[in-house]
Amino acid sequence: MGSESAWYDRFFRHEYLAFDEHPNTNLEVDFLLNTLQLPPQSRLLDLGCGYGRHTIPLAQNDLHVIGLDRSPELLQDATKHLPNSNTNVSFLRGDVRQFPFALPFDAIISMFSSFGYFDDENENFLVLQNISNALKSGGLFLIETANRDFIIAHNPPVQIYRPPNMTLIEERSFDSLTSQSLVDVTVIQDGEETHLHHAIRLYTATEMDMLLASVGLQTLGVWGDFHGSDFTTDSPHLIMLAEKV
Amino acid sequence: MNYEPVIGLEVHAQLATNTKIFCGCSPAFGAEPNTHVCPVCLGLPGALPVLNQNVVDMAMHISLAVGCTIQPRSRFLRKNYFYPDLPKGYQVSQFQSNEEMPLATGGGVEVPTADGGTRVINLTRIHMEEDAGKSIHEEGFVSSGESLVDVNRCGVPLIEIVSEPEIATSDEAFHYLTRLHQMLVYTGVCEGDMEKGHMRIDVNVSIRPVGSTKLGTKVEVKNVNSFRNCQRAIDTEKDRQIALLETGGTIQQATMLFDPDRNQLRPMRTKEDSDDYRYFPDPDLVPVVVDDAWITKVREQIPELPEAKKIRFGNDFDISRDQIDILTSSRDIADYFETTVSSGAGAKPAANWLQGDVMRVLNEQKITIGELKITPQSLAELLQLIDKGTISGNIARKVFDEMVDTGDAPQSIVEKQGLVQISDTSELDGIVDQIIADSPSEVERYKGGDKKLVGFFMGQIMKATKGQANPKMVSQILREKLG
Repeated sequence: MGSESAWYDRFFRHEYLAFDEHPNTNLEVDFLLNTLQLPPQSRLLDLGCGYGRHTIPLAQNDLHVIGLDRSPELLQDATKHLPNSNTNVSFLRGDVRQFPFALPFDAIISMFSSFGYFDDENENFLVLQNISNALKSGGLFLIETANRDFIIAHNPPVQIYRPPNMTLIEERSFDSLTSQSLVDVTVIQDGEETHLHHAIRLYTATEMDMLLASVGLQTLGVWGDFHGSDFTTDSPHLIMLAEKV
Repeated sequence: MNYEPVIGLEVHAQLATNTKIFCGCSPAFGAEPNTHVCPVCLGLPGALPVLNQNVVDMAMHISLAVGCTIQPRSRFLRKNYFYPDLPKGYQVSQFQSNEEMPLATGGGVEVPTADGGTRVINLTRIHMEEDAGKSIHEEGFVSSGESLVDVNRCGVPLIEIVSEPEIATSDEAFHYLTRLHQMLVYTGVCEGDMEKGHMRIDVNVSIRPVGSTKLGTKVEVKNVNSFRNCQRAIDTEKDRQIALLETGGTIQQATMLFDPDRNQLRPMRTKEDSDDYRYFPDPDLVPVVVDDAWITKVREQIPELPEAKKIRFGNDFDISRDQIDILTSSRDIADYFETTVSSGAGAKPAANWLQGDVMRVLNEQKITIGELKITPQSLAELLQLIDKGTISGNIARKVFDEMVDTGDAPQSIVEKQGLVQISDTSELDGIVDQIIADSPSEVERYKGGDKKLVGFFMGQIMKATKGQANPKMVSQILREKLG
């Protein structure tokens, strides 16, 4: 497959900005702050930061935050929400497979299923290696992704959403061989249909734990949602916190 | 009103290929003028260019290293303008617009800021292009009113690295350039020799009231040849623009040349828009198509970069931040350090010796670490001899100097010259007794409270033993005997 057809280059554009809704962002940010417990001025990297809905509030809590994303549209939107005060936040348009950072981080986060984008397993693994390499020893990595078991058990094959001024049809399937969640999204807006595709590798908690361990990250905690509930088959999220040993 | 500058940089870096971008001519610097030319780089009618695959490969190395996205398909366009050193009448380059994509977009580098933090400077793109020739006006051998043209440089492969206009100070610009230079050299795509013009910088400067987000009219300063000059050109141009606005003037879009000797900017021409160049796809060149397999291959070839190395050294070795910076300043030094440590030396002494004695020798002899006669294994052996107490630090410096000259193994030098440290208590006892007996007045002063004299005794003992006495033991024995 040529990179021309990489789904993520088409998916995260203006349509995404229009339909992406997150009423619980405040809860998520509070969870991050409480779980990471970072001293003021710590260096934090937000991988796949999108339009900065975590990046900016985290920076406003006296952290030095860098948001990295590949989508120019989402980053453009992020700069519109920049606070005027002296918050230490910057955005980098880049690729998670290569980090260009000058200093190590105290913590790295990967929120809202922004991991597992590559068809080639080696490339997903490379991202974890980059994360581990970019952390100080004792540094923290927090990942939040969809719970594979929940998706298999509960996600209906077709879902229709009606955000303002548009209709979204999501057709989902799950490839048991590659453990990929596959979603075909049809966006209907002003009578026009746009077709988007989304494909991410989902991991069980056990798999993720082993992958993290293999890059020197030791799991400290696993949760099933942003209220800090235990992780079960029926948890919507898989949230894991690991420490670089 | 307070103004702040907005700075964007375009860095032209020469790729370290063996041949030019579209023909087999050598891109070597310093050849007899107008000898490295052929019908292709002269643009003679009917000559057909063929893209050098290495150019794309090298451009991909640096692009991926700074986190760019490689475009699966990009084209070469002709940028049309007339100049005597451009025999074709156009430069083959790439372009970015709604219809055209260059080889790579996005990415960025992180630079330190004045308040001790860092900022990310984003890149707009990295594209490939050919260099133009050189017009020579000001050299002594050119008669006044005449110009000479050397077209050897026509077709030398360049990449242009274009930053977003988001550099805030001339210091940031300097750090940005330093980091890019380091990345280019680390990845091996550019030799980075400023004196040979391997990196040339166009600086775009505009100013705006502090707090405003609108960009002012920009002035471009062309062909700055060093990072310091770039800093000075930015400050000079910023001051000029502020003075102009404050006296009621307006800023004209223009292209300027920086004269570093006078610290002055001279207007070169009023700026053309890209429309003026009549860009169009070069019909003689096929599109550049890059597939995932190629990208993956290049990604795997990229060496560990200075940033990643710094982080790893900080995690793995108990050495200072300054030492990390020095040790990672070049790949060869970093490799040397790591081999020394993996050959059995402690990280701290290895770092100290590299930072001190090794660097001193490299500077004095003007050699690279690859040319040093001492292998990392020998240095590790030397440090182990100190660690085991076989030789003292002082003796080690003598052995080191000998190693620098001969490249011999430290153990054999120590044995041949009988430099083993004296750690035999009875032998040292006798020597200390002798020195005390020979220096009655100093002993009296010492006992009278002049404790600094311990240095005198140490010196005498070292002299008597030709520096081979174990200093720790001597100091202990001295204190015991002098009370």
